[in-house]
Amino acid sequence: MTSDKPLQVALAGNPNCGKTALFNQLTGSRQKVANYAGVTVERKMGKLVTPAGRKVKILDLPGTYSLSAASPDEMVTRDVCRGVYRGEPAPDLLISVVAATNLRLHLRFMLELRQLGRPMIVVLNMIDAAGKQGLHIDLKRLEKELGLPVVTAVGIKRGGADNVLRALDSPPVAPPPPLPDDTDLHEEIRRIMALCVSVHEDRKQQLEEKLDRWVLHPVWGMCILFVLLFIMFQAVFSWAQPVMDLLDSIMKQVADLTRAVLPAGQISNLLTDGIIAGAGTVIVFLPQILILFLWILALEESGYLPRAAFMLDKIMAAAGLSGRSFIPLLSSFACAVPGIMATRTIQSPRDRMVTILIAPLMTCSARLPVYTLLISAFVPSRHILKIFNLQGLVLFLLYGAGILSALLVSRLFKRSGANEPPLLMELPNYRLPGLQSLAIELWQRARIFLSRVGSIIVTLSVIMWALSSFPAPPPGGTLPAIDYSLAGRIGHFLLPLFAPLGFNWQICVALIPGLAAREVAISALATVYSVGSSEADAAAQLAPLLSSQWSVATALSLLAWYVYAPQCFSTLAVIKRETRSWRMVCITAGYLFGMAYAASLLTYHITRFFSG
Amino acid sequence: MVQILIVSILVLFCAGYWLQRLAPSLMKPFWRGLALTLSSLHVLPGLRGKAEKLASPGITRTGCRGCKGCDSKGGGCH
Repeated sequence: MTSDKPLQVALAGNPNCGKTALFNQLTGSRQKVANYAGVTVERKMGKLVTPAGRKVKILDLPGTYSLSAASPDEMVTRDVCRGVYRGEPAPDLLISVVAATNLRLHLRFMLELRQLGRPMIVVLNMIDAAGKQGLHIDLKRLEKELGLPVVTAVGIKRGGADNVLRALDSPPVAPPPPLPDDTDLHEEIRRIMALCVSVHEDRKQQLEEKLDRWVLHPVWGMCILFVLLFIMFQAVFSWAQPVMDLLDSIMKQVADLTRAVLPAGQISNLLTDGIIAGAGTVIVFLPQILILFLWILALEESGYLPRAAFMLDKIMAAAGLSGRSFIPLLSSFACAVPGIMATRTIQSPRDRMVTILIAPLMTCSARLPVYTLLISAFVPSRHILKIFNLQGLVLFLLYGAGILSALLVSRLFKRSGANEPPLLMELPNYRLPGLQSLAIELWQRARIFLSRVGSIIVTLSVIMWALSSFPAPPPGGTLPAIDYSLAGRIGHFLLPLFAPLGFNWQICVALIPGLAAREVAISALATVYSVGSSEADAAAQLAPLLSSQWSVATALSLLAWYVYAPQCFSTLAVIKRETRSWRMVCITAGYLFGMAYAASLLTYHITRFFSG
Repeated sequence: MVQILIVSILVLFCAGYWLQRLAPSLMKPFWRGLALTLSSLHVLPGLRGKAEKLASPGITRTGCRGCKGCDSKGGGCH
């Protein structure tokens, strides 16, 4: 069956029922998937062609428990399913995705969707996991009871959506007449469950319950969380070093080779002092970023993260936040942009605004190169108690400082706030992280990082090089050439503002492109020092160069600055878009700048006081 | 002289890239002019299409624009 007009299909279901995994399988996309609720916060569109050649436009909608929407992401789902979303035609077919492992909860939303009277298919996703849990579902009976086609799927396996594709080729089936308004849906679910589902509790279920007794324990659970995070930051420093050294030496060889091959002149200078010094310095940090993400992804896939959110709910409540803020804040460790977008799952507008305000305080991956460079330059690589790497410990403390500050700021903003509704969270089953999906996700992260280096960092490095190289010094100029350049002049112009923090003019220059992306501050420092240095490999040896030219107080002051650093332009742009308010943008930029300045000032003077 | 010319073009390209990211409205006359020129010369249809797209108003972009996944695919890559 073929048709020129594509079939409009919408995927709807409860949070964490595997809609996006199914969407990726059907369309070949690679949208973000995780083992917790609230990952998809806006509709995503994809196209596919069924085995019979039918064109289909498919929408992946944010998960919701009900059509009575409370948060912005749930409103999108409600309006699209009802066919009233502006700019989006009413769907010809709804695909109600239901987690086979959690039928009792998910059938409720499915029944609500059925009441809309649109043609519908029910997809029992995670059917393999249901089998492992000892659940047996009588599909024929379920189809008969619901009056709708029911197919099974395994969204995370290749070919796991084949049944859905075949079902799309069948003519759409209109649902049975809606149930009367006074029908007790829970009673209806109990009736269907009793007729269609039989349970044989197995050992895995018992094991999960035992595991949860430890992981969710008020004391041991917190200890487990603390130890996991601690090991994560130790690993970032200890495991990455050999690969970082290798990348470092490759960059040095590339610079030497460029210098040897190209004749002396502006092109050679641009390549070595600009591009290789700037972008090369940042590329070296790729292994550390990948190790950090490996941990986060493994925790995400295992199903541990929602449990961590549950554990932290009390602490978040003390800071005036609800557990719903946990996932947006956690996403902000990768980048504040998706974190701020993820706040759409938060129902209370005030809670949402506060979460948006504090999201930039979570240490995003772009800050990691800045931290690592300064830590490796100024913190000795020695072990405490023969176990803990001191550099890893300092990194852990910097991340901790960001989190603690976020909680304090939230407390301050929310001191007069009303009481929030308690956190209701569905805890997913534990799952062993799949090596293939981890590898794919890591590859995605590496591609994102390298694409940032190839675009943002290379272009800014070229501009920084030009600013640091031109204009040339006047005849008879006695100062170093870079002091006469535009970058030198900008640095000296800004110096009076930042001198009380212990910053020199080179740091002042690096702070400006650091607003585009924080890691660019490192490439800018490398370019400025490389252009200004007489040594050929100045950029390749940035860490020792900094440790010989800066005081410890200056380095710590810059670290403190980057804990609070006024966020990048992209973050400000997304805050504007999500809040539709320039006021919020100004408040965020203003309070972060104030905190960064005050923290740096204090750090610099306290360190100077103690170090003499 | 050739070296200076090549370096200048590279620096201008990078400055244009950032201008497009930070203030796309300032770059619209450039894209409009480029699209018109290419259209009258009947060359490079791919580039012309792209220039026309960038010159047209109301392109709303999502995500951090740090990569392709954040742009046309509506975010979600992080």
